[in-house]
Amino acid sequence: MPRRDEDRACSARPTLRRCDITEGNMMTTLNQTPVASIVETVGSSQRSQRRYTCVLPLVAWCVRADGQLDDSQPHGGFLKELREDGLEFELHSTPPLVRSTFVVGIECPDGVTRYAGVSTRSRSECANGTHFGVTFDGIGNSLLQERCRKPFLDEKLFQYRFPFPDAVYESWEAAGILKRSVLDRVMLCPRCRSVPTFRFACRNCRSGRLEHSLLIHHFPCAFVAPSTDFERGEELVCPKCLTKKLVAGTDFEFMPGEFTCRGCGWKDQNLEQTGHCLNCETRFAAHQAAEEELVGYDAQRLDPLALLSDVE
Amino acid sequence: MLSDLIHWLSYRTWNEVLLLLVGLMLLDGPRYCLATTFMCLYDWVADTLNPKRGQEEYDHCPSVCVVIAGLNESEVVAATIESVVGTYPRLEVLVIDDGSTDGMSDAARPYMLAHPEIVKVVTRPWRGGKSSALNISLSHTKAEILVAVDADSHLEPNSLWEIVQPFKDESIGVVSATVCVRNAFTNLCTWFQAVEYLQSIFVGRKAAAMLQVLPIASGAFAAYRRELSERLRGWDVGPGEDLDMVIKIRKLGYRIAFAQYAICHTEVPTKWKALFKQRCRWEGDGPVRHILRKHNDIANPLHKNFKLTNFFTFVDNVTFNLLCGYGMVAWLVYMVMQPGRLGMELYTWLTIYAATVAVEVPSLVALMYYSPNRKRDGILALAIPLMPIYRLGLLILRIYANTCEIVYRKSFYEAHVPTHVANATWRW
Repeated sequence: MPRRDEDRACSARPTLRRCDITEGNMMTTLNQTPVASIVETVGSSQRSQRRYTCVLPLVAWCVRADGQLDDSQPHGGFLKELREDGLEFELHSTPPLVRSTFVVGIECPDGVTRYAGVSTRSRSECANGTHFGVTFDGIGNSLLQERCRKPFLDEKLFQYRFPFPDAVYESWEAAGILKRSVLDRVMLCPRCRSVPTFRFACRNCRSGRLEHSLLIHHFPCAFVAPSTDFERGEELVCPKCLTKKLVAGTDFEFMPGEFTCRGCGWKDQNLEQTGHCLNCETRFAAHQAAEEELVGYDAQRLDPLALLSDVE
Repeated sequence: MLSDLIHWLSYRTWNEVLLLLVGLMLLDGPRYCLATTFMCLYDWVADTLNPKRGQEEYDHCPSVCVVIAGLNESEVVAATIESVVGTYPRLEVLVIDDGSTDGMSDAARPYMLAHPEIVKVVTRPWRGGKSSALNISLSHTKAEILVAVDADSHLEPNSLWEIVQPFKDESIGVVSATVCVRNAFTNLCTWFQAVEYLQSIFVGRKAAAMLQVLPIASGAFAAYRRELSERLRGWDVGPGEDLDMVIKIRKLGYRIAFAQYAICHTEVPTKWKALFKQRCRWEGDGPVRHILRKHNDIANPLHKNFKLTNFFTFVDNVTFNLLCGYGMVAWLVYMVMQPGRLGMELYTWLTIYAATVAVEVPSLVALMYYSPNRKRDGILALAIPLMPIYRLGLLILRIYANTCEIVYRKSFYEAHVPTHVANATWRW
């Protein structure tokens, strides 16, 4: 994570210390060395939730309305306070930031930087820069959700795509917030890259409309023919040796016969695995399908409760 | 020693010489020698009078379906398909996997994908025997000619052209072809078999076909009119299904031709034990099971389908494959028991051996006359001095196999056919 000189004290690996968590608005003393510290604060009557004073180094990127990051370089600062639904932090930024949506990265006590998308609720100038009161909300928060980091199947085009434009993911990946990962490999239509269905089909016209015949192998005379040739009224009679009342298993066995294509009349015992594109209706042999990696993004999302637990 | 032998011979009476000749004629070699020598002389004269004889162009091109039926032949089937594909214009190749467990279908499948119009692969989920595997082909093709090829046999590039030419004649129902040994120089066992195949198939079957007494088309490489196979509703349960099919077609009134230069190369057993098992199967089911028991009606002059050529085929097979063996045993006993005690004299056996080797020479000349690869066949012929011993071994084996078949119907218990099929098959 890029850091600035003035944030050196904060950006160094925090030395963890068992913190006193006491009722009341009391803050533990910060040493000269960066320290992660937590003080539990009773929430006001208006907000019936607990607030924790937690000092940790922090970086933040401004997020534009379309989801892209404003700058490739983040702004440094301190996390001041932690709530279940938001944060209080200070950013050392000149000129003061005007955006209301951020992605913040907090270097947690385990050394991992975790990110959260936030929207500004309050903003005030302070001695070191700007103090922000934010909630976990906004486009940044959405984008860090798991469902937005994985491609979904578009029901109209039958293509995999992301909820946000590719440029958004690229800018977030360039900033180090998201990491590209291969989720799976998928077979796609070689023509339009849509998702096909695969089935065994006629090797000639690739139609799936097939008729399957059943053969009978009569053991004593080795005659093999379609089962219909053996049918004489209600009993089975071998057309070669004219043996009547054949018993399955003892006298004969059934065998898989040929498939006959209802489309072109082609006969074959072997079918070909064939793809049928749901979008452009192209039929192609399975080995001709475009095999592509289905890519998603991993992110270290900030979980406020887990962070508190870690620091404790 | 030679002078002693001549001296000993000069003191024999005519009766004794005749007795020695009888013994000689009971062996295979001298018979082949006689037949091939006369045939070779005939061809030499005919070729001299008409230099264009035998140089006809391939002008008959019926549609052909090559049926490659096999069990657990994944290692060799690809090479067999390769030897077939592209050698003939109106071609289908049907690979029938008779329930293999070694992925034979998978080995053939790349060819099916590469040549979807030509190669088809049919996979049986479990084994049913070669006959039923061949019968499957009848419901998969409409080609005019069915060519059965073993999965471990490779065809020469012009073999399919050669094998279909005799079908110009509408009276030809089956064409037998030449089977050569591919692994001839592996060891002495395969060397002997290579010479035997050359003499008995490459030259011997030509003679038999000329005399209209050829009863067999090797299962390794043979062509059948599909229409006839359909009329007969396919092959019957084996072993010996190739012999059975040919006799059935003969009984329909069709003739058997031999395409000498339709050559296929096949692997033969490399171990004596494997050779013993193979020949027990071949020898037992031929004359006894199929000729003497199942199709003995071909020797019945009162039968409506009686034909003189079929009768001679019966006589030829029963005499030379069955009676000669037992005749040899009787001859040996007589030689020992007769007043002159010829059988107890070393010179008797030396004379027989020398005569047997001597009669191989005209046979060798005939072989060289027809051979398309004289250098290779010439090297193979170096084994001829030892061939009488090999032939004697085969004769003993034949007697054993025929006896087993006569007494126990041994061919019905062969592993050649799966048990559930063998149990349901009628026993002739």
